[in-house]
Amino acid sequence: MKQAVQINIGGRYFHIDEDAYLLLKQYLDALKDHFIKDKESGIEIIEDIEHRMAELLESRLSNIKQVITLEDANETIKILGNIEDFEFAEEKEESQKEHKSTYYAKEGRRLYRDPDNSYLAGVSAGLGAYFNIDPLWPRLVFIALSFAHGFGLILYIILWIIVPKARTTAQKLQMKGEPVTVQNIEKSISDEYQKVKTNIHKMRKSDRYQRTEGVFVDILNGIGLLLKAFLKLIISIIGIAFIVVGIILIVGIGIAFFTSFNLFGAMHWPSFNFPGLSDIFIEFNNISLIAICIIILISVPIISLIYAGIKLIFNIKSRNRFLRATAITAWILALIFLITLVFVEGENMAFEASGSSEYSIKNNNYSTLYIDKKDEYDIINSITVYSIFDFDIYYNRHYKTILGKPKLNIVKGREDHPQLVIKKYARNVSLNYAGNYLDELEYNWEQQDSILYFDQFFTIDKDKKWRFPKVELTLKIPENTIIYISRGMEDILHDIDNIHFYREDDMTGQRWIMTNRGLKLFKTKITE
Amino acid sequence: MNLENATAQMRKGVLEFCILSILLKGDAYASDIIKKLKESKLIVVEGTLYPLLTRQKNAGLLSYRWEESTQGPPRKYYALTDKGREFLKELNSSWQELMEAVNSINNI
Repeated sequence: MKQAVQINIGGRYFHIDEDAYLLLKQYLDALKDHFIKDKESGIEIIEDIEHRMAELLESRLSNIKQVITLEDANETIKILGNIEDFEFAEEKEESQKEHKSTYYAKEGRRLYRDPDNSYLAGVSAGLGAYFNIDPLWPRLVFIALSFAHGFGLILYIILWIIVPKARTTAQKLQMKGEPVTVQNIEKSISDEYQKVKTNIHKMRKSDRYQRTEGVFVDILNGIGLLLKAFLKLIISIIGIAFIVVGIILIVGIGIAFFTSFNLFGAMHWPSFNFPGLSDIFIEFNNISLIAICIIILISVPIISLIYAGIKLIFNIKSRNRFLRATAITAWILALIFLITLVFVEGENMAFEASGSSEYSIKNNNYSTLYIDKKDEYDIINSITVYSIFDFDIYYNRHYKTILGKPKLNIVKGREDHPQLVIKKYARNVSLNYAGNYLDELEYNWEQQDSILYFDQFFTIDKDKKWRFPKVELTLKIPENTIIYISRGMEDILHDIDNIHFYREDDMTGQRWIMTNRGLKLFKTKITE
Repeated sequence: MNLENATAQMRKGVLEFCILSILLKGDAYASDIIKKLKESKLIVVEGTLYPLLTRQKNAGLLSYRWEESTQGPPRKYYALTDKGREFLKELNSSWQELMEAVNSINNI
């Protein structure tokens, strides 16, 4: 008994065995694919051939034979001929255009998406088939390119849209560059048929085996099969988990690279090529090398994870030693390279120099000394902040200047008038350079009557990189001096001793008096 | 240059010539043409014919019409056009010339 289907060929109605139907369908699909090149006449040719096919098939039927068999289909195709024969008839046109010299030139390879070996949409598998390489390589290229502003991802989607999926056997053969002949189509069909057949055969065999060995073996086998299925399920779940985690990591890191997603602690990565970073920290254009190293360091393990997941799910046993060795080598090289680069950059910060200067503050017998900030918000507006260790770095994109925050401490001084000590620190490749760097650190303050105005930022010379510069301000005031700390100063106040253990935020907008043990709130009525 | 290729080239030219010649004797539908070509062993597989017919039709050498059939659906009947007749005449004369040329060379 065989399953039969009903079809309509050339306006005629046939009952046909399923295998015969599949063969005819593949054949006509291959023809369609071949003739579709010149649209209108192509359709006409197909229609004519279908008509003839119907005639031929009908001639094989009789009162006692109502169904088209595989043999009928085969005979009919033999009469009609395969694509190579059709090419013979078309050849005149082609040779006029000097496309092909002989009619048995092989079908050119065509790019299709390969649904059989696909991971996402089969683009990479199709490219692999087209270039006769492992689809892993196009996959890697896509992933790598995805880090370049998402280029790979966009390219993939475009290819997904424009490259057709290989649906028919003919297209699958074309994808692999094998000529589309009926023999080849039959071969690939019979390959699949054989696969199914042997599977069924195996099943039957094991059935019989179970029956002869009795119930006990049945149960054991059943448990074994269950265990096997269970194990397979678990392995698949692990595999899926690997893939999911890998994809999440890729997507997450992708997002982190493309947006200023806050991934690495407080450090912002404004975009892939870290313009802020390269402007602020790193010399010699090492930045792209560092970026490449980081990408390799991150992506190799993730891709390995996904690859392992795929292998687990699809039960792929093959071990590609070359691939593994390449991946491991690339990873280690990237690590070594990155460490070297970091050391090279670190050299630039090897020595620290410091220098301090002291300024006297004229005390014209004001009852209260005011400390206030200079308003510089117009500069602050265009600033990106990086925080590294306890350093806050501000970068003005517009003026391309690097700014740092000074730290202001207020202590008891020994002199009878207030003093301001400004101490600067900086690192560089040598003490000498660090000293030069110090000189370029610019910090401004000024006194107007009883008010001390402090800049909120110190600036680093335009062409210099950030080398751990620090500016520490120490305001020394004699005992019993009254000071008023204006609001807004809390940003630069740092660790000021006061007997109330107030935090910096709470110290502003208050009047303080210097005592033996530090600042103390000055509680008398404010007469202003 | 191999034999198969050379004969294939020749065969195709002749095949187009013969299709026109068959139609000169009267309108025919594809299966009739196939039958005659097969009898004279000009074609091995039938599919070859259809691209040729379509191309000749597109070149204006042939026309076709649909005709009801007693067995099955309507059939496509091909006929020579005036242009086709003209073309066939020229083919005929060049065929004669070729025959004479080949014969005279072979008879030397």
